[in-house]
Amino acid sequence: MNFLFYLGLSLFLVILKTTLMPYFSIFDQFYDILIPLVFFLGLYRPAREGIPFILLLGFMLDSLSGGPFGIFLTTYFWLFVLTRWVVTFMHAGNKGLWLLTVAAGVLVENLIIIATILWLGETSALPPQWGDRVVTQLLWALCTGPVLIIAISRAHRKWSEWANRIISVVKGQEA
Amino acid sequence: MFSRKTVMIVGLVVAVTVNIIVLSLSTRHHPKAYMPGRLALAIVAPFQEAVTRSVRFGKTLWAHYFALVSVSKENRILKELLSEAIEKNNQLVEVELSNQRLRELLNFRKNMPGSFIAAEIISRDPSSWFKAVIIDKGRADGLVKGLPVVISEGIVGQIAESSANQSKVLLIIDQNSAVDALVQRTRARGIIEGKSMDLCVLKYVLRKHDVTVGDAVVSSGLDGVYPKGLPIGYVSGVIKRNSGIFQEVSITPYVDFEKLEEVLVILNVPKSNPAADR
Repeated sequence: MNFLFYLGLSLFLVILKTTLMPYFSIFDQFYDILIPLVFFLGLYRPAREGIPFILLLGFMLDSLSGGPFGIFLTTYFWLFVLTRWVVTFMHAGNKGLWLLTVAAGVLVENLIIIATILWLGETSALPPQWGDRVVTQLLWALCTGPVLIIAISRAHRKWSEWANRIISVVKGQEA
Repeated sequence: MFSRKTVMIVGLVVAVTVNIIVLSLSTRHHPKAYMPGRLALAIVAPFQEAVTRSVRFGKTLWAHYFALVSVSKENRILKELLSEAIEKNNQLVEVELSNQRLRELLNFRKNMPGSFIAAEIISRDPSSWFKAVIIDKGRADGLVKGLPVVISEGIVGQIAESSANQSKVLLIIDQNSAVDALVQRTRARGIIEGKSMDLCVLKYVLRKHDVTVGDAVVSSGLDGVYPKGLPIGYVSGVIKRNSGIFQEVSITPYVDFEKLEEVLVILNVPKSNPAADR
């Protein structure tokens, strides 16, 4: 059931990012909207539940993007691992952690992309105004990242309640 | 002396006569206003006026209320009609614009050899670092990796990947993209690479070649992907450094990638474009 939730949510976020947001120029430099979902999985869900989905998500995004295959897969996997590591010494409900976590994730993703372009790409030059792009994404992440994590967390709670209710009804009917 | 009856009859006749005379006199000469009459007027008239005004106000209110009810009803209906008309108008504008774009594509298609397939853009790259779009045609429509994608304004990019019903198009503004190109006026050759910010750069153009701002740049056809002579963009900047054998040429593509909606995929790339050869 949880997997269905993640799948539906990620599909919604991908459509939002690739189909709806391009209509508004204000979102031209918006960060990768799936990063909050990766963090949510890292902060609150067990690894056996998170990792398969993270890999699927990375694969999906790599397939949609014009970038080298594996960038999203790599980014999401390492973001997930980093989050798991961070929560070993910080409380997952820490608001400060929420505030910085998405921005840090966006920074890590951009660093991975920059490194890929510089060392693995056919051209060794970064696109012009790359610094502005990174800064804009970071600002967006600082402003909206925690809100997105809270929204995902609440949506997941609602989904779990709804799923549990359905399961108990089905079990009741079987009994 | 006189009976009571006689007195009554005489009294009645006198009264009638006097009345007739008074009436006759008053019809001929208007009497002057007298004080009690004026007082009565002063006391009663304001009440009369107030009542009359109240009745009129009531009548007006009543009439306005009904009028307002019907106007409000009419207004609601008109608003609905207006919103329907606006919606229809928007749809018509969209259809008109789409029609215009498709006509341009059709004209372009008529002027080009080879077969084409029209496709619609359904999404854009999830990352702002890379420039790719997804179109609604795939292997089932004969699309394979490497096919050129164009519109009437010029080259859009090439198919990077195809699934059964969708394909990924790598735009020429992506930095992994490369197109063999010529400066139309001087035939100076170079490779166009994306700079990711809706701009391209024409690389490997020798310093000795004459390239000026505003020169049109077309595909050379030598890369085996794009037919010869397809417009790409115009020169928007030239930098000739003191050292080095090449000059740096910035190209602004003719295609507005932000507004891209429909594209044509060239299915069988002609070996050369006779129009450009001429």
